[in-house]
Amino acid sequence: MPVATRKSDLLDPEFMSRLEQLDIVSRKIFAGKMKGERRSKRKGQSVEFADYRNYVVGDDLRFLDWNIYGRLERLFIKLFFEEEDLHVNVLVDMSKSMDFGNPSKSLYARRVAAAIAYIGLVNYNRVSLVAFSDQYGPEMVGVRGRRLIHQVLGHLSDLQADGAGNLSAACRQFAIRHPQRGVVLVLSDFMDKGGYETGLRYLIGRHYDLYVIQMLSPEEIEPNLNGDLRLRDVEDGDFAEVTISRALINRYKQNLNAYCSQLRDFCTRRGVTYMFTSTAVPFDQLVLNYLRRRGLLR
Amino acid sequence: MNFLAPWLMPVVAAATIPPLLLLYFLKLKRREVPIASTLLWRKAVEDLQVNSPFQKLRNNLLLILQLLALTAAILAVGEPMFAGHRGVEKAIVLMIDHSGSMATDEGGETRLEIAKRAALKEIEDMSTDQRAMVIAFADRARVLCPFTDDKNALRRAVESITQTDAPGRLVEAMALAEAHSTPVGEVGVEIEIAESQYVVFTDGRLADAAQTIVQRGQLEIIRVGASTENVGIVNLDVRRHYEAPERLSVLARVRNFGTQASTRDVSLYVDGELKAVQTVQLAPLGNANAISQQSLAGPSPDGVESNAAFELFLDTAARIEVRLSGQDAFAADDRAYALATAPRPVSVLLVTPGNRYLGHALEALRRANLLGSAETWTPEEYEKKPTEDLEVDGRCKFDVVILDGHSTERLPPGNYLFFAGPPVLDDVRIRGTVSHQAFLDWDDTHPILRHVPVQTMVVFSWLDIEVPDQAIKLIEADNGPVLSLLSRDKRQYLVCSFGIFDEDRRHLNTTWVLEGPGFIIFLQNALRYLAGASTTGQVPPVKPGEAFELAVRPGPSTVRIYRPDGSADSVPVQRNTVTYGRTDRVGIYSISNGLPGNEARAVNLLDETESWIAPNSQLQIASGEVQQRTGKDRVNRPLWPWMLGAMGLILAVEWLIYNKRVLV
Repeated sequence: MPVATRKSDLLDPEFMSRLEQLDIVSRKIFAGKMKGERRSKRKGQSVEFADYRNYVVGDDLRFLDWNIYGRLERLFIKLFFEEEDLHVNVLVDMSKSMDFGNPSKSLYARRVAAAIAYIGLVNYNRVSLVAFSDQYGPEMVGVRGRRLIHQVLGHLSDLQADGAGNLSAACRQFAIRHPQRGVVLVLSDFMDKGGYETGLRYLIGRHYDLYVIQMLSPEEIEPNLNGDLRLRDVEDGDFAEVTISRALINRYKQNLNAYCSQLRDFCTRRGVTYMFTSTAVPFDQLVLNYLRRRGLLR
Repeated sequence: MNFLAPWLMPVVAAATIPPLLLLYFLKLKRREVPIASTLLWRKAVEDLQVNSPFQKLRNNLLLILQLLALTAAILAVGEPMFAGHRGVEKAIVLMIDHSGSMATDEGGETRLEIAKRAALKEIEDMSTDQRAMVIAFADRARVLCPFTDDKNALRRAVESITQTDAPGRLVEAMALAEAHSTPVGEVGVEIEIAESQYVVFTDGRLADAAQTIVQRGQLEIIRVGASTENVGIVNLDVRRHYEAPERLSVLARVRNFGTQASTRDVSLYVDGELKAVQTVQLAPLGNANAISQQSLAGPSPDGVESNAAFELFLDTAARIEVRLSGQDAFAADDRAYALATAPRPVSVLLVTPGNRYLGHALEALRRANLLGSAETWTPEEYEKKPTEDLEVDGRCKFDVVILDGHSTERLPPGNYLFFAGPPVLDDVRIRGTVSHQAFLDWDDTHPILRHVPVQTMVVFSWLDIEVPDQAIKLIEADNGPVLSLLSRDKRQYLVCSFGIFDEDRRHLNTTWVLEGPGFIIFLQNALRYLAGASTTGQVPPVKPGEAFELAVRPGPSTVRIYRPDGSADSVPVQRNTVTYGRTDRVGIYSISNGLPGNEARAVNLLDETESWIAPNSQLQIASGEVQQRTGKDRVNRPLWPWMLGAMGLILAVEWLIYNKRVLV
């Protein structure tokens, strides 16, 4: 029976203070609903100069560059980057399979989600946390501001891994409900018998700045099994009867590598950043080093 | 492949296969382990199976291996046999030829050794419900082991067979085998007659093969041997000159039986001393195909035989040995032996009431130095004479006693020629008189009738004398024998049923004495034959395997007979005579306590059939050609050890697979 995680298990204060120095980087400039701290792709009214263009009738005269007109006697309109708020969405797989390993993948995923959420909140990004298993939700949408971190942590700590995963349905629901572009981080083991391709295609189709983190437990990467076994799938109760042999273990590892490589290739070809981690990798190391190296954080 | 105990297989299969299948289908209880997803495990299992050859089979490979191992065990229980030549006969008679030709050297071992090895293989191949017997045969057949399924006893019997130099004869062996194979049941009780398989291990050189009849069962020849080259002495004649008995002539006939021309030296040894050597050149008998037949298709080629004749002066008894130089595959016929007797004139006693023809004939022979002395007694004198006048050392003093028209019981050991009156013996009697009949048959090959023109003889009447079956009938008429030869108890009786004169001795009963030299030739032949060794120059030799009698001095109850190989047999004496039958090897057999002229006997092979060592490829018996195979064939090879081996191998593979865990 899953036990609710304490907030302090997700983020401790010391680690939170280290996270405050980080920010989420979006490789794409998105339009937000409110003026935010983030440069938008749209040219707007921020202070950061973007470009010039010829004046046309009807343009706001306040943006005419009079210095150029003085030198060249031609009218140019100054264009500025408009700064908007960034939508940071974290999809956390809370299917039953995530409750596997030591530490469990679900705890690991929630810790990552909490860290990302905290960084987003600190930087006034609009943070949404969506959990999914065979059903979509629960979700926490559009949270903004550092003060809401306790709600976020509370939300995450209340999540329980249960049910079979259905990535496709979850992604579809998310894409419908979150049309605004932003950074989307998918935390899952991607061991979905329905496949991951359809779900990721929904997200890719929305042109999110998509990050995929596949997390597996050490027991899955290096199975420590022996003998004649009846392997029970914790999600759907499916059984596989095996007699563990060196050949079988080798074949399993080959298949795992192939599966991960396939997912990585799928993502890479579509401009999605793919990351793989074992839950044996210390969580802070993942956030502070690994995600920074891959460009999600700076 | 035959199964000797097929009924066992379904029983064992029924008892073992269902439990195995049951155990397999119950399967082992697997430990349940929760995992995040079976997605990759299933795929791994499928991959492993897809990538493996025979993946469908390998899914149940351990079961299949176990079933295979069990099948091998079940087959082994059924006693599988490799189907060879043999049928399903339950009774096998192993007949092993140990005649002289089986001593032929075949590259380091003799044919007999090869035959024994082949017979041991046959015994090894026997199934548990088969019985076999072992017969060794040469000139005589002996049952070494009666029907049994005890393979050890059969093996011991085969291994006990020793080489002889006797000629090979199949008829007696076959009769013996068939007699033993015929089941004896109670009268009125119907019994199943099982056919026997007669397996004869021989080189096929069996003189009487053409007379052999197989009445029931199947005869199979296992042919042994391949050597063909042999030169042998096929005849040895030693005789003294009639007119000068101190002159001894030795005539050895040498024959080539091989495919190659041969030049050999024939050496004459007298008492172990080389006296003369002659070289003979011999043409080949024929090509390989011709000499492997049962008999030559045509007459023998010129030059295949050669005679070596030696003349020497020898006025004492001596041991004569003729040797062939060089070596060939068959050694027994490279030497021949003879015992030359000291020259001694033949002494004859004529007992007659008066017969001038006989008297003149004997006188003529004496004058021609063909006879030493001849005395004439009347019947009355003969009956009344004291024993010392008639006997010396328990034998008749005269070499031959001619009894003309006088039947008597006074017959000390010796040689007798009866005219018109038989010896008084229990099984010889006169049935009546026969008149005016012709002779039906006579044996003019017998030494007594050689050169005697029987067909021109006219005899008016003769006594109808009944003689025992073992008597040799030299002349036969419609009613019975006219001239017969009977040997028993150190006595030889030549019984002529008619006399020179009729009953009242006034008229001639035959024209024989008037017409040409026929009668005197007959008389000379008869005297020479009956006097035996004293006139022929040698003690009559015997063939290997034949028994001989020797007269010994009265006294000891046993004497020792020294064999050619130096060993000695102790033989009991019965009525001053020893009979010895273990003449299985050629050479001279001597006795420790023999009478003069009776100290030894020579045993010679002198058998063309045995010397013809080329294996007979088409053995013909009376009922046709016999199926042959070589001794190298394996019949009914037992396969159960292989089955058990296969089972062990399968179990080892299964153990390996299970422990390597390479399969699900």
